Amino acid sequence: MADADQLDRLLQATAAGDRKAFAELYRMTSAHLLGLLLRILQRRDWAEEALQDAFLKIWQKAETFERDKGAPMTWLMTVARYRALDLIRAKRPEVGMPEDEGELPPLTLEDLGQSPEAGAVEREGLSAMENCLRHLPVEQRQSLLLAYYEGYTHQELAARMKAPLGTVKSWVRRGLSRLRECLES
Amino acid sequence: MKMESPALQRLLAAEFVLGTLRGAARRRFERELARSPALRAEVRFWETRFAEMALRQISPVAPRELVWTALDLATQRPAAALPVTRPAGLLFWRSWAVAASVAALALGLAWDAERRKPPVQLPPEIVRVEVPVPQPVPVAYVALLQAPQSGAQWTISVLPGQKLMRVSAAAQAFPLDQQHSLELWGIGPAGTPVSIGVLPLDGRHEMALPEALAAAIERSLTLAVSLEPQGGSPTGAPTGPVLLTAPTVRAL
Repeated sequence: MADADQLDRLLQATAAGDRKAFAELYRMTSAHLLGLLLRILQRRDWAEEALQDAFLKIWQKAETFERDKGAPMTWLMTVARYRALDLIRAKRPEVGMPEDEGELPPLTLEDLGQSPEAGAVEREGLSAMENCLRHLPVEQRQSLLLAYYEGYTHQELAARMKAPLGTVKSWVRRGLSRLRECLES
Repeated sequence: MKMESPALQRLLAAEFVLGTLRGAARRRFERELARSPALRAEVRFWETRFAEMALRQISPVAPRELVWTALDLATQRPAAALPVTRPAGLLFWRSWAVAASVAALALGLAWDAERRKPPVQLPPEIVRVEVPVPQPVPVAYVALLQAPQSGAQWTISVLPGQKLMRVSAAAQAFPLDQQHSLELWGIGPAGTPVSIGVLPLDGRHEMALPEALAAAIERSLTLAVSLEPQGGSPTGAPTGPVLLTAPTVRAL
């Protein structure tokens, strides 16, 4: 992946209407964005539609990126993810579950749970975020990761985790509060 | 406006980023966000943490060339003409092409008129520039269903090769009660309506094109909309009045 300074330069040039810089920005970052969009939307056509929308937004809004407040790559990922959330709300009926025709296998709860043993091996390379997530009770961690990576609503989380709506809401809230405390410590 | 505790505000920021804050609560939070630098900082805190996590956990996947072709075309237009946000939709260039075709249809003989104009004599020093042509696209047809009174409108592209229809609906104004649905039908040369499905009133949607209609479209296909009980005709044939019709026209 390109370094932040290079992306920052390309974003600034894009904001000034430099289409070559925009093309270069797309070349360097689109595969990362598409990876996330495919994870959320599960269908390549939807993910590519969201990718196109996201880059149109980036082209139009590049001047709103503030370098001192974050890294360019996280800004780009964030733009793409909000676009995916909009799209999924339009495409997925309110409480409906995702169709099983996706090109990626659905994220399993085992994937999300990740055993502590496996974690110990690579702890060195873990970010604070991942470490803190690992210390959450399993239901809280799963709720947060399913909401982030699948774009689930509270209702969809309840259906997926076979738990009452109120319980799921409190898993999300407690999970986020504890995560916040852990990240600040 | 009711005041919410800082702890609750922080939680709302986190749920906003996570995506579990929805509907009216999300919109209310967005308005708060525009006013509060502290909330924006809180939102950015979570956006950054989650995006960094995703970058570490997700493998990149190269997009198809089509996406860039579309973006390249879209960004050639003046920025003012670009929609800042648009509803979930088709690949931009395709919907642009459809819109262009529909506009041409609306103008009727515009193309003919263009052709009748005397050729422009270029001074010899002017160099002709070849304009790059977008890649060839599958055969597509378009139709525009319009309800003149409500202003409701459906732009439909039909891709017979893919047995697919793409419907872009801007029809929230259509006066429809809870007990009824609009149903879309295709009528080929044989004259028998074939159900395509319940027509949505907003957003962009894909609908399957029945085999019989895909086969008929080269000769002729008319789209029709009838008023039906909620969920569509119970009999498989139109039971209510036909409200709108439109021909499909070869676009690409």
